[in-house]
Amino acid sequence: MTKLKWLIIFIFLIAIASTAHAKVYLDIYGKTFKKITIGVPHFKSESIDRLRMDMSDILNKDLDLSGFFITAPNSLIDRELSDEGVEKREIKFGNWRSIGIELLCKARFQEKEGSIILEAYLYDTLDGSLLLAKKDRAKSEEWRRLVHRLADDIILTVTGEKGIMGSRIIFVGGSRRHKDIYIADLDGYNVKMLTNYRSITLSPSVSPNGRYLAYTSYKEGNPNFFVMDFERNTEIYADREGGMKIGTAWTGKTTLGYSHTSGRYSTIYTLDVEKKDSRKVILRDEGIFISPVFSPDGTKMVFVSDMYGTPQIFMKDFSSGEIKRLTYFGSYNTAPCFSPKGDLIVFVSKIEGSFEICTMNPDGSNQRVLTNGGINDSPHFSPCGRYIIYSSNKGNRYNIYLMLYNGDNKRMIKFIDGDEEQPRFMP
Amino acid sequence: MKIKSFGMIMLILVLLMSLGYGCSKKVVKGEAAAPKAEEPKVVAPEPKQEIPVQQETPKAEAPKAAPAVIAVLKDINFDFDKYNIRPGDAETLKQNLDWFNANQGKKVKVEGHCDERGTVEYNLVLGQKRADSTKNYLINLGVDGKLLATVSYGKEKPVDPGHNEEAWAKNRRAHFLP
Repeated sequence: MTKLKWLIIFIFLIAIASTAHAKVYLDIYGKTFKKITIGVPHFKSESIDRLRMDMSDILNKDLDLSGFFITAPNSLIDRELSDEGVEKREIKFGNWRSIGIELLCKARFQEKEGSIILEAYLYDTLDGSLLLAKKDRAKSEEWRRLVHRLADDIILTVTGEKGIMGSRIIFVGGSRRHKDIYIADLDGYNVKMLTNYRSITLSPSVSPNGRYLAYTSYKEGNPNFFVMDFERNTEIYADREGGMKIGTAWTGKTTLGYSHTSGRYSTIYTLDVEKKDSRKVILRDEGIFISPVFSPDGTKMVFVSDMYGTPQIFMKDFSSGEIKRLTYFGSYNTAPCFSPKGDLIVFVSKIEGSFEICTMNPDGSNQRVLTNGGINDSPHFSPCGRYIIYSSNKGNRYNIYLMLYNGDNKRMIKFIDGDEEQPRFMP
Repeated sequence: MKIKSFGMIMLILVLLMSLGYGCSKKVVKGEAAAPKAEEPKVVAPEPKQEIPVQQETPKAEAPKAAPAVIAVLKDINFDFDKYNIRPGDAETLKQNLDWFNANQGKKVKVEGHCDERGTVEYNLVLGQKRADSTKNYLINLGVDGKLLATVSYGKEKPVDPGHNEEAWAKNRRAHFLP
């Protein structure tokens, strides 16, 4: 028994050591990088047969979604390779090298009293060195989360930054008549409805502390604006004035910005949802002034306005009060969003009849087009800044896609049967 | 007999003429109110273009004007990404005025809609602007603003589910819900 304890502590130490001295295999912020070929044979287990394959499949999917790996197809891994043990002395690294595999992830697990204990190793096939050893456990029904955590640790070992595979997503889903806000895991599972009003409910955003949800809903007939407290499951703010109230972004922990358009005027407000009567007018003028987003340091606000006849993106500097136009290309630039570091703005631009996801520097320079065709909408960065999640319609339906911040590795993620729009990462 | 029926026809013609005249007079009334429209950014450029159209209409519109008593509220349409009232649609709004005259005091919801192109949030606001500029135009024609509520559905409720210019043109609309 004590022997086993020591073994666990030893593995744990290796895990710490390997992350502490993380040799960064892949510098993803370079202009280009070569994807690493990784092999994930079926996990080993004495009991449950089905789960062995399911777990390795999910790990392969995660690693593919991350954009940093080429995952070796199962057909490439023959009997001899897959029958091998998981420990270093049992592995013939030359065989793996010969089929082009650079990194090898092997894992075994056992099920005990309703939980799964997973043991995983990541090797460099070049010299057989152990890059990561990990022991982790979870409730049996949460085995997916166990695999996502492993994927995130592999990504951390290889790129120096943790992966996002354990993230959750909020999005708008539904048919043409009913739209509601959903929450789900990034892998498309554990889908739950957050609203159920048999109406159109959209444009959700969650406060950085994860406690408040802001959205616009037609549940009372008109498009009214609401803020809900998850913890107490109550509505804590509502704006029922006539007109359109939409477009939410948070700055600070509990301060929310949104726009109200009615008659000739648009107004952009901010309010602290935890303080009464804290609503302030940030901007008010004739025409359209909507979609406020704030720079991560809170010193600037980016928004959309048609003050020159077509929708364009502008930036207001709070200290000088100055408003600067950022987009000049084309006649339609909307839906801006800052990267978490504030070094990029992602937005939607109409280019040759399509609506494309683009990025630019915060001064409007260096504009790049990341998508190709269709109607792409609602781009948002992941909290780590390496990914952009967005919705895309290339036919009859809106689907959610994830891609790297440079437009590489686009992958569709399916959550529900129906349209899926306006995705955002949960903080 | 022949002379009598001739007289009847003459009488009907005169009646029709007077009806037509009465109607054109109303339109002129609306026109008189238009200068108020100078203020709103959206409606301002319109009156200039309408004047020549106006002079033609009394003759052309007169025969159609007769069944106007059972008038219906017709939708108007917009150009892509625009919320100004086009001259042809201004005519439609003037015809819709007959409905308001026949249904005094009735409340009407003006719905603004967009086609499927563009982003969700911008379209929701664009629809609001379309509903508001329609409401504004009707107020300038003399409709009581208190009777007009506006709501935008953006691109959420297309009338035609197609993905072509024909469907898009139909979907960019202001719809009236009495």
